[in-house]
Amino acid sequence: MPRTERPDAPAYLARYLERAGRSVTHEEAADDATPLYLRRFRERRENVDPFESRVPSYDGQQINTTRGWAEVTRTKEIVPERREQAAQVATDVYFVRHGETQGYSSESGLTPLGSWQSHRRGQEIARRVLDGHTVRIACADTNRARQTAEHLRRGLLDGMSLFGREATVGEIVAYREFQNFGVATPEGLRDVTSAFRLYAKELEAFERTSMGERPGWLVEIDRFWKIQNGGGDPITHWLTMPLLHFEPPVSAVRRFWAGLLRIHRETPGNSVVVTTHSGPIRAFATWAMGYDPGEPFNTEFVRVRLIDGGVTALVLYRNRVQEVQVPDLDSLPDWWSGTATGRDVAEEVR
Amino acid sequence: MGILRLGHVDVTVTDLDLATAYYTEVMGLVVVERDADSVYLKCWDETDHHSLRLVYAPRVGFDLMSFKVEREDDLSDLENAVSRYGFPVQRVSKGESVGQGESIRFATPSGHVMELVHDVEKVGGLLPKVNPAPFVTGVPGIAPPRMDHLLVTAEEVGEATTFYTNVLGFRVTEQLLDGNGHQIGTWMERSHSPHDLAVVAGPNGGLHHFAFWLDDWEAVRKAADTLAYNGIQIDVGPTRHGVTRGSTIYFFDPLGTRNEVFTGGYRPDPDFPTITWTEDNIGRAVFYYEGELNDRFMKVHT
Repeated sequence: MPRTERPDAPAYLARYLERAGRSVTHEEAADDATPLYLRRFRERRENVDPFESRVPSYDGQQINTTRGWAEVTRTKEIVPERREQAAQVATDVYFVRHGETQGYSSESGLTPLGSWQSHRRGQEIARRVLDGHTVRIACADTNRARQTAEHLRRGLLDGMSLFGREATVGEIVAYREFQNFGVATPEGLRDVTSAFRLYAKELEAFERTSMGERPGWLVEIDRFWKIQNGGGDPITHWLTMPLLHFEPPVSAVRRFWAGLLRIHRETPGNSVVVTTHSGPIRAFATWAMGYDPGEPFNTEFVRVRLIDGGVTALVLYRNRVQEVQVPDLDSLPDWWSGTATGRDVAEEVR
Repeated sequence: MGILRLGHVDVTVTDLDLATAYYTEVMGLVVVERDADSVYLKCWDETDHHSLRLVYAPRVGFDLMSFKVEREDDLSDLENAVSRYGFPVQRVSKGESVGQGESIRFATPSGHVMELVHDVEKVGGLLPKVNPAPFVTGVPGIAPPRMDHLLVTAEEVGEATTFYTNVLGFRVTEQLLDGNGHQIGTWMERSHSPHDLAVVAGPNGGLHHFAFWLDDWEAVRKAADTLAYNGIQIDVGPTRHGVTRGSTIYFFDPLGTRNEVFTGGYRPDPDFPTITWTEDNIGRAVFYYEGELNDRFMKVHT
């Protein structure tokens, strides 16, 4: 028998016939292996009313417009924790980045998408709230952070009623410790958003009158906003470049710890949602992880859980958990007294 | 302007079920549509209605080749050009052929029916057009992303090539010359690939093979695995062409039409100078590793 003659039907024919034998109706189409685009095409050809066609179950592989975002914001705990384990957690803090904003250079607050994101985030956090808990909400004192907190709080209440959780949700309190990093301007320390107005005004004056050398703070903040305008990432710039007039990242980390420990002292054992800005959040995560884990997306959060009665903490971000020692703020080196200022170095040491 | 790329190849088969089973399960194409006597298939990365039509007929053979043109005006321009060259052109109106609008058809000097079409229904591809993954999963078999080219046979290769180049605007990337300097094979392109259409010496109206594109040599090796596993008769390969520099496998579908999977080659621009091969090097030209042609490759066509 020549090689081209087969005594038996090929296996692929059997597979094909078996598949063809299952007649597919639109009712079953959602479980069919036919790709969605082809199903939709056929339905268009057959004039199937789009309202009649089966809605496909969500598949992250297929509908991946927000896939990257979905992947890094996936629920972190694979194993649900038991109550007795949860009891060991002293305080549980979420540092949530604000939602999509109208702009970073003005106090114009969130876009509609940003408020929707915040609401969704609140609903998601509601799943992690246990009965009898108290959830407190803190925010940085900017419009975008405060609006994020407001929408998140509504989402949290909605979600809790949806999941049937009995917990207390506090009012929104603004904390100075959680504000965005600041810039030292001639008019004092301003957060980077409110410094923008001053910067724009000064720069415009310089350009209009050709006043000569620009002061250092203006040069640095100009670089910062130029990176933003060029589509770059000014936060990376702030994290990695020594800047004489910007609050250093480490100071933001210390502020965050100070706020966190204050909350822990005042109300131990609560969950706290802090809506704030990506710069200090990212600085905090970078400090904890020992490398830069990247800019948080809108409403993405870094979670800090104080355990062992507040001696150590778990820092959770993007599926990574890092155990850290809670720093004793009083015993940390203070770089701003002594020799670090550049003024007090004795003649013979220079 | 002018022809864009190979649109679809229509082949006749004597067993629609067996052919469809092979092209879906082994080749990994998807069935877009069926009608009374034919099945329309496409590859996963193609967005047009189909790139392969299997038509039931009492004998296995070649029905037509269809090329897509860039603009609607190209149809009338090329219709004029072909008519002036002396070949009658038939207009096919919208709705007469499945999945496409108005087209023109004519016979070429090499005895093939050729179709040119602009308006083709868009089905869409397996990958989304927003933030797609760079690969697909779950497609059975070889799963080539698209159809690439076809090779037809003609008694007068030179004459056929003149028509394809002067009238239809194909550009010759490579040619194979016999001892007298006559063309016995030409490779022509419109889509900046080594070839979209090739003509070799043989009977008029024959189809030597049509080819699917694969992304790299690794995919060719996996294709060979799939073919062997499914008991598909391999003709030649995996090997490499001297002409076009591509890596390749030739094999037969269960009804005897030769297929090819092809990858590699170069990206010729319109000013690409033609590469010439001489007949004493024909073995190296076609199969660079083996250096010789086999009989079956020379003689079997549909």
